[in-house]
Amino acid sequence: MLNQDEIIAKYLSGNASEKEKEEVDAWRKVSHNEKLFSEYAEAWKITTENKESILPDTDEAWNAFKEKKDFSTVKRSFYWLVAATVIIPLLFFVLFHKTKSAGISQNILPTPQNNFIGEVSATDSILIFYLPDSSKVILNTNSRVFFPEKFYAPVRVLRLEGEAYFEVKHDTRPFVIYAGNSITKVSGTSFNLRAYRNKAVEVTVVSGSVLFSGPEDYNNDALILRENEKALMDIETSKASKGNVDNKHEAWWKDQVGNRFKKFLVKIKRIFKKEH
Amino acid sequence: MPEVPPDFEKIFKTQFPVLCNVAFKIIKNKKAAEDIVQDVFLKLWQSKHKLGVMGNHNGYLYRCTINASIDFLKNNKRVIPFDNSCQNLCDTSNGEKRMLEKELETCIEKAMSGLPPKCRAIFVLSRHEGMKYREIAGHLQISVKTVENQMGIALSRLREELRPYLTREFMQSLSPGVAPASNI
Repeated sequence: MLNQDEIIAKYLSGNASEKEKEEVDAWRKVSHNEKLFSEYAEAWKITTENKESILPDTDEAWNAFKEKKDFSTVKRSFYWLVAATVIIPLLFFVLFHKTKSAGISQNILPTPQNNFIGEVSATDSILIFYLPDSSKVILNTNSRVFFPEKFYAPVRVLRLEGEAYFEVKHDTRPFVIYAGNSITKVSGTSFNLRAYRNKAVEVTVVSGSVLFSGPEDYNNDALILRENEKALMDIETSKASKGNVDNKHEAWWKDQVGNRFKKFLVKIKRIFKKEH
Repeated sequence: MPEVPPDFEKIFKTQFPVLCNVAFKIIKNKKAAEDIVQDVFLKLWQSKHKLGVMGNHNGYLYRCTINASIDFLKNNKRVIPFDNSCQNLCDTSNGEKRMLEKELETCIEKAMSGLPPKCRAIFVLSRHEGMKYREIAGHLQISVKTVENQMGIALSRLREELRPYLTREFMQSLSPGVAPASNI
């Protein structure tokens, strides 16, 4: 059923059927309706087309069209090709350069290598980045971290080779790091973890507390470490033992981001330690 | 580089001005209207290029132009500039009347641009292009019922907006060309 507006619009625009016309005419005869109708009719009338029309330059438009249509078919694809050949290598270069160059700023995680595992490795510079749960990691030189693309599981698990300083985002899901023969479990703390190959894994807690153990002791016999405590993992027995914090700033290296000279010192220091 | 067949050129040259005016009536912007029609032809050219068919495409062109105009309105909420320069109006003897006419014109334009894009396009096609509801429905690929409905909305809104100008007194103050419609 048409409403009043619709049927009058039909009437005025000449789209009404005979029956509808009669309907409107009958309606107009009822008192006051005529006045209402004249408002509609007037609104219709004054919205008449003002004779304004435009006279476009067709020849010019045609020439423009001829140019555009060639561009849109042949040239466009060509330009795309050119753009692609320039931009793609540039993109690779930038990405590569960014991961290689000193971790100047705090990179959001690079995309993982495959669906299951993300990997970040620092070769000759210190790298700062964030894990998917926004925990911060400062990765020392010659170190690697592996982690899932997203922490779906009830546990946040990752693996470390080398040395890293972690500032773990507090979360109900425990944060577990496998490094060498050690397992470090925390909830929300910051600590330094050193796990170079063929050396005892060392953990130094900067704030909060950390559970540190070998695979066997993980469930019931883990070592509890508090602030400014340090522990070592025996390579042979996989037993954790507390050690002395010989340097209050065990994780001092993490502040050396981007300083080549100091990085050099770190290297020297490591070499000397090996020789001891 | 593909050459343009002569019949395409003919279609372009005859239809371009017509379509520009259709677009212009809906969107009230000369430059944009020409751009819209230019794009419509490009689209036709590209699809033809792929399909390799030539035929009567006027219906297609019309439909594309109308739809592109509606899209343009959706994307460009137009602000009607109020033309306050009355110099050229005041030097005539009946300056006041022209002012009123001008005011009415501005108000109509404002009321029209206040309509939702599709509603406005439907109204313009009926009122200014004289299209039948069935034709409009065909072009926009909507039902006749929707056209009826939108026309009702347009008319009632225009009546609301323009009510101050619909009085007999106001109309009589204008030239006889816009006399009140007591009878249709």
